[in-house]
Amino acid sequence: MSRVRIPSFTPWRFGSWKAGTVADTLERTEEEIDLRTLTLPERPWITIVWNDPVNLQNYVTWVFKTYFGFAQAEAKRLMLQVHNDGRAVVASGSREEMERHVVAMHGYGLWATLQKDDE
Amino acid sequence: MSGFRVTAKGITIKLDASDARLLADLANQVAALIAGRGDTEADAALDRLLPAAYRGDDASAAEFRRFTEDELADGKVLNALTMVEALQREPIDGHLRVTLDAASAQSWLRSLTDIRLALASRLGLEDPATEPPHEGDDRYLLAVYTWLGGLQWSLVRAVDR
Repeated sequence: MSRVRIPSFTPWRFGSWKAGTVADTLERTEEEIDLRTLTLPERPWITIVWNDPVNLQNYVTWVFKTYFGFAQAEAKRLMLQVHNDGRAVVASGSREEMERHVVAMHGYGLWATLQKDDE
Repeated sequence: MSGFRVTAKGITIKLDASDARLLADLANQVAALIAGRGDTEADAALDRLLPAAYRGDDASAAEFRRFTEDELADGKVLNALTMVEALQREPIDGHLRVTLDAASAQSWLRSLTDIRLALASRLGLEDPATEPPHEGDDRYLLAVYTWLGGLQWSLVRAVDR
């Protein structure tokens, strides 16, 4: 099979990635998040997962079970809600909590956002 | 397609050497795309891999990026490299058998997702109005995308038991 290039991907820039950058970044990011959350008020916020045509149904269900700890039936219900309605609210709580959920969903490749509950 | 199976040794797959090279190549390209990124939002694939956390609130979205994007991106690069590493052994009789433990299966699931998101973005598949490509390189990429979907489906099934 011939070598495949995804059209218009950036050229090989692998050399710019260095061992150690991850650990440095983790430390720095955590420190900055701590400072930031001190000033955030406690308000009801929600995490929304949006439909996309790429993620597989069994994968989305598995993510909801694995990350949020939902039972199979609830995870599947939410997955189908995302699929059929275009979006589902998967969590609610403080803004900081929702920010953690959203970045976790992005880590799984799901498309998630947070917003105030009353919007 | 055989895909991933659960065995006594863990979750395994037997890949043609050429398929293993293709997978490693794609994972490397996604790692390079993310590690070498400039303005995330200027690139549709990157903007989907590292999406905005707020809709209709650019200031909050930008601030959130500033605080979280590097760590998120590093995690995605590491997942892709975990996949590359597992695919770099010498094939035997034209095949490569890969066995995943729980942690590497998680990396593979996430990395397969990222590769499929990048491919879908390049092929315009996120827009339901776009016609799937019928010819040329894009048609081949679409076949690769479909193959990756089957692979990932089998891995979810193996993990989610």
